[in-house]
Amino acid sequence: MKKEVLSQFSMPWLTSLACVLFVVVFVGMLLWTFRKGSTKLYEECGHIPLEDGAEKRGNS
Amino acid sequence: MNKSTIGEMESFAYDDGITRKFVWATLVWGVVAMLLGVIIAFQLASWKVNLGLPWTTFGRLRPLHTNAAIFAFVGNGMFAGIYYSLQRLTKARMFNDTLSKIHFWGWQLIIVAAAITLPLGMTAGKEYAELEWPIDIAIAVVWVVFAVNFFGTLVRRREKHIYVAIWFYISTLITVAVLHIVNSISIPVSLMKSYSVYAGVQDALVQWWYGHNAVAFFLTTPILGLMYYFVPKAINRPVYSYRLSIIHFWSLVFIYIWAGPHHLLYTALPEWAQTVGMVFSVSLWAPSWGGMINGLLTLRGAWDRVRREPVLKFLATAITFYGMSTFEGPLLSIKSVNAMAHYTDWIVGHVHSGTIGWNYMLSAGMLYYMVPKLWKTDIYSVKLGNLQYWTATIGLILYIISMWVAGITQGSMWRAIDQETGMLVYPNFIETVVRIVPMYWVRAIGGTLVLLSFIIMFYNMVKTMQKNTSPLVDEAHKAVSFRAKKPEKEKGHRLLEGMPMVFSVLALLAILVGSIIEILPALMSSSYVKKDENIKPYSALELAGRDIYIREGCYVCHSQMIRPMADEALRYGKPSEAAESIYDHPFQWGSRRIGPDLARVAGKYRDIWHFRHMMDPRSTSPGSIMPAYPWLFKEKTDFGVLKKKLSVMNALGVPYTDEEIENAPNAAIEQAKAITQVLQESGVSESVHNKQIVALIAYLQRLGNY
Repeated sequence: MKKEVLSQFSMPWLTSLACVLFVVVFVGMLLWTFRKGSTKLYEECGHIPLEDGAEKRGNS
Repeated sequence: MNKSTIGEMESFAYDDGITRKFVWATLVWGVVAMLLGVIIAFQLASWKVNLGLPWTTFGRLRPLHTNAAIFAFVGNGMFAGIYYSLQRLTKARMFNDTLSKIHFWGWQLIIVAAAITLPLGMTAGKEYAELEWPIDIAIAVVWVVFAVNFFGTLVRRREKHIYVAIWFYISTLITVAVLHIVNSISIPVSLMKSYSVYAGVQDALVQWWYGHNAVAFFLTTPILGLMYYFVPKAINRPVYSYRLSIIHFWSLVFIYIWAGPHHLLYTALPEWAQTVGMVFSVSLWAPSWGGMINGLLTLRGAWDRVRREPVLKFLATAITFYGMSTFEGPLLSIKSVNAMAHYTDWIVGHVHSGTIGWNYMLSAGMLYYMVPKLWKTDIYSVKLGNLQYWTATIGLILYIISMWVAGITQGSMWRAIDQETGMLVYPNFIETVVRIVPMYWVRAIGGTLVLLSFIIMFYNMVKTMQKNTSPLVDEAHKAVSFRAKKPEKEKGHRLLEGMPMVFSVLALLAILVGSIIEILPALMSSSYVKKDENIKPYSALELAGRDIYIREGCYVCHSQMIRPMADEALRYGKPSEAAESIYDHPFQWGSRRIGPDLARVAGKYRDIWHFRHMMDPRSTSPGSIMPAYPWLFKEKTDFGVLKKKLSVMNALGVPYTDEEIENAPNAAIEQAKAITQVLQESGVSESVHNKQIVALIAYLQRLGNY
């Protein structure tokens, strides 16, 4: 079965593409979450569930 | 205070009525789902519990149990949590109350339809996607209603940022729609019968891409969203690391979609696809544990409260089991581990550590938090909460451990080869069944404890609701309108999450990349699955028998896929090849061997053996736990519909000639008469050629015989 399929599987680029895509997306996403100013923003976002409809955060 | 009296301040109220409805549905369906689970657990311990009735046999009730647990219990719980948290996270009422109601009642109707059709044997024969095409369409419609309501609410939100829980909800909305539609495509034969457009290896890959991601995007991502809302809420502090939650989200969504093929390791699925599935499954361990650590660390310094409060107790346990089952899953995906664990009860134990440990526990924590708030009162009894907690935990541990023992025992027995003779140590499959029946009793007792614990919660919740005697009025809240605010200069994250649509498209892309790369080669399988001239389409009678096989849910206990291993070759014969199932709409490879594999059962036994075996399995196989199927000897085969069935198969690419289609009923009757004659020579006195048993025998005697 293995030989039979591998001998006729004509898309080896597909697996390479998958691997490259995966690494690029993951590293890109990681760098993006550490971009400038994100810490303050994330701090703010983290508090959203605790507000419960009240208008505590004045200017945001 | 009127609208807009203070600048851009708006007054609004949350729709908690709809959440209360979903809470009720969660409680009711939870009992039903777990009761069904307990019934089928006892059926495996003692075949008599099948009751000898068609609609109460294991093969028909197990799909009902899985559907009820996933879509009715967890589904309603998820909706309750989403309706509660979405409104609060966006500071907005649900977009449209009517849509909310259509969603609620539509979903309940679908569940009722499932509860009626599955015991009647109306099934598409694909695991976790058994429902027939009219119900599938209803699911798609209700899902779209939910999506419109959901995104409408997002558009009207008064909170600029979209909290990470909502991201998880969005990924569920999009992915479940894609999975459901792609996997359910079929051509109807009648109102309650259809054939999948996919066949064989292609159907296997699509089905497990769906099946695995039903676990991922129905039982995991939305529940993670609920975790990111309810854990901070319950402990009144923000999540440990918001940044980690975002990394958790993107890596989970991107990786999960690839993992499906780990359900098909060592099958006739192309080897490279199996390896991709395994590698991504192992990778999944990282984001899963990132999420678990994030959840647990949110509780840091508050462990004394975890000891005292049911809400936190359930939530902390849920997160712990999330960690445990997301460790076990990657482990089981490693091919060498899977070689032993696949088709055994280990997988069943793993699934339940996820559904009971993670889904049930998190739902319980959520309900203990939400119900007192929604009914504006306090919990009726903390003591009952603790009792429930320990009953459920002990039941779950009994369940998991008995299934580990049963799975590893049976897996070891199957593969045991005598080193001197080179023969199987346990050549008779039944030996490996009888050995684990005691574990089935332990599992049934564990399951009963879990059911009892849920009933305790049911009582506790109803008592809590009754504590409130005043009418429930939705409280008014105030918040600044989002749209009235001046636009700010924004970029990056803000831009991305400020636009739900852009975000949704990105999430869709993340899941489509994996899906397309994985499924594309399968859709082109005709180019690499070598055609075998000897493999002919099923005869009309065999096809009728195959539909009976599907109706009775035989695939729930019997696989049709021999893996390329020495012990399987000795026990079942030559390993299965992709070419052998190219006409199987849907494929019937199965996922569990409660009974032996049937891929090459043809010719192994005489027709009369099958005849007696279906009437009373213990007469031919002493110790068998299979239910008897007496109704197959009374109900008649519908020969008339075969013309239609063959022509639908023909439309799906199965090469029947026009003549074969036209002549289908007569050909079937002729073949049935031939089988009946053989049976009569073996001592069957009554005339049975038009009974379903004959069609089933025709099908079984065809499996592997080309």
